[in-house]
Amino acid sequence: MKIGKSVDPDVTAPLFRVALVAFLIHQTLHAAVVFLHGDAPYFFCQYDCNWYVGIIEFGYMPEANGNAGGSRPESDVANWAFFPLFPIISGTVHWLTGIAPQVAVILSSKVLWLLAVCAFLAFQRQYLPEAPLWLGAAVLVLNPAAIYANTGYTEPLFLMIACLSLTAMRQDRPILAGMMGALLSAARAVGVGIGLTFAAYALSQVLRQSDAKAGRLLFAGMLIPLGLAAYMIFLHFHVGDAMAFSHIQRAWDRELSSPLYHLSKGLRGSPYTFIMALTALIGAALAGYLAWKGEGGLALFLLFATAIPLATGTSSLGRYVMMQPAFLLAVVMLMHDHRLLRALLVPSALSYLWMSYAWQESLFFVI
Amino acid sequence: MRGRSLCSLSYKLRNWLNGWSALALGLLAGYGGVIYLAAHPNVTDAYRAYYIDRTSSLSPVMREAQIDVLPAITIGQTYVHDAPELLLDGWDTPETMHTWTLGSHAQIILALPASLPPQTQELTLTLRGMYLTGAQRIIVHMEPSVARSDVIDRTYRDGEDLVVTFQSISGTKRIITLSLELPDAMLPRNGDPRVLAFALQSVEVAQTDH
Repeated sequence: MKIGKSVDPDVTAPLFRVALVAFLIHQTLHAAVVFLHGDAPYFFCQYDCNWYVGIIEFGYMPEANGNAGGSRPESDVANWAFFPLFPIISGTVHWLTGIAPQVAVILSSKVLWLLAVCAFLAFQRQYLPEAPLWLGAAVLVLNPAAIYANTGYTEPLFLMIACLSLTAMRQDRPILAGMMGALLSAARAVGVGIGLTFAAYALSQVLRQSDAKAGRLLFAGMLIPLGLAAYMIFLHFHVGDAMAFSHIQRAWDRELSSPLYHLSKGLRGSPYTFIMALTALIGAALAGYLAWKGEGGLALFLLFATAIPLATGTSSLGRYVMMQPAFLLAVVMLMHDHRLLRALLVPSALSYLWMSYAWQESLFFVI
Repeated sequence: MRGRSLCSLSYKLRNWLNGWSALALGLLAGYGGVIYLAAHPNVTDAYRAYYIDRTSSLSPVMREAQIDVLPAITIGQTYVHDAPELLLDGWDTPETMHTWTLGSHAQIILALPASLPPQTQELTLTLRGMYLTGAQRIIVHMEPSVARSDVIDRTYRDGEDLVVTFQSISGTKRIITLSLELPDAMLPRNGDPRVLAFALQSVEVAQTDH
């Protein structure tokens, strides 16, 4: 386990420049697709974005009757599956600026995306300092799941916080890592899985250094589920069910089962479920690659973040897996070690353009 | 010697418990509380059955909406399994002659007429079951609790009807929910993937003389 690498303060400025250029390329490509498509607006809020808008406008629903946002009014759905950190941030943007909630949600995800690109490059610099920053930036902004930076989804926020937490671990700042972990678990349920990486980090600290502050590490690790716990307490008093965020999955026909069952079902299903299941397999393979490269903690987090959503089905699995910092870092590692693989950036960029088009067309698989 | 080691242990424990560790233990205790809340949801039966136990196919909202428009039955009339007067939850789609229960829980909801005389009623379910093991156990619970005995727990053999005797309900709350627990529900061993117990053929509510 690699720990405690130092950070060169002189690298901050180029890191931000690379991040900004990558962000601008990403935004230009999306704007070009929107312009050429012509029919749908630039700030096009649909699917999950509408759920976040509903949370900003009406708050969390006291009962599941489909009346607060979303596309299934008067049904058995509720917005409890959408974790609070992103709507809190975008709601604050709406409240401070007075812009429409739909625009506030998408604008927040775009700004968070710029910060996420910076955070990812800082994370890459800690875990793979020998790889060029442009490579990491290209892998991040030219991948099909990068569409979710433009759609008012929680992916940019999740990626940013996860990168900050992992970077803090590598810099041996456990309290900061734990605090970021707490925010991560308030952004999405699988965020709590970063505790696995933290446990691997803490264990390596205790084994390597006899004077490691075990109490401090323990406290920092205990901070990670705090966001999830706070949301569960809220749900218990608001809905009567602390696990409502999980139980409401019934409304989307998501059934908790073995990840292997859903994997095999996905591989034998439609082209969409096949691609999603394939993404999960690639995620698992990359976790193995990370473990082989000595990054066992990252591998555990990637496996967790792949297996937990897979346990409820293959729907939307692509963005859950491909927007994981460990997944993206493993791709950067592979492309750094095998230069020929960099050619994959071209089909990857094309698939990002295709996903941008699919979003404007409201095709089902972008949900 | 023993006193010294106890002293040392106590020193170590105090040392370990102060500062960060004490805070970590505080958080751990808090998480214990959250797990307790998660294990004790404060929700309606309909919510629990649909979202938590997944034994119901009707969400609380759908259930309420369907109960609102449920036509009242007529005493003495027999209703076939797919009659609009019967709201079935936990049952398969109706077949020509009957409707099968799916899994080990099923409910029948019906609305009694508003002007029901204050007499004892008999609710009779005509069931045909899977009797691969000779007989099947069935546990019946009626809500509101107006049945002669709160829970009926007995074993049925093929050809037997299920009869529940209950007192008439006065007032406006006329909805009766009959919950069936079917612990012997099983796969039919003929390639049918459904977990089956009983097939409902008809329901009748009639007045009794006793």
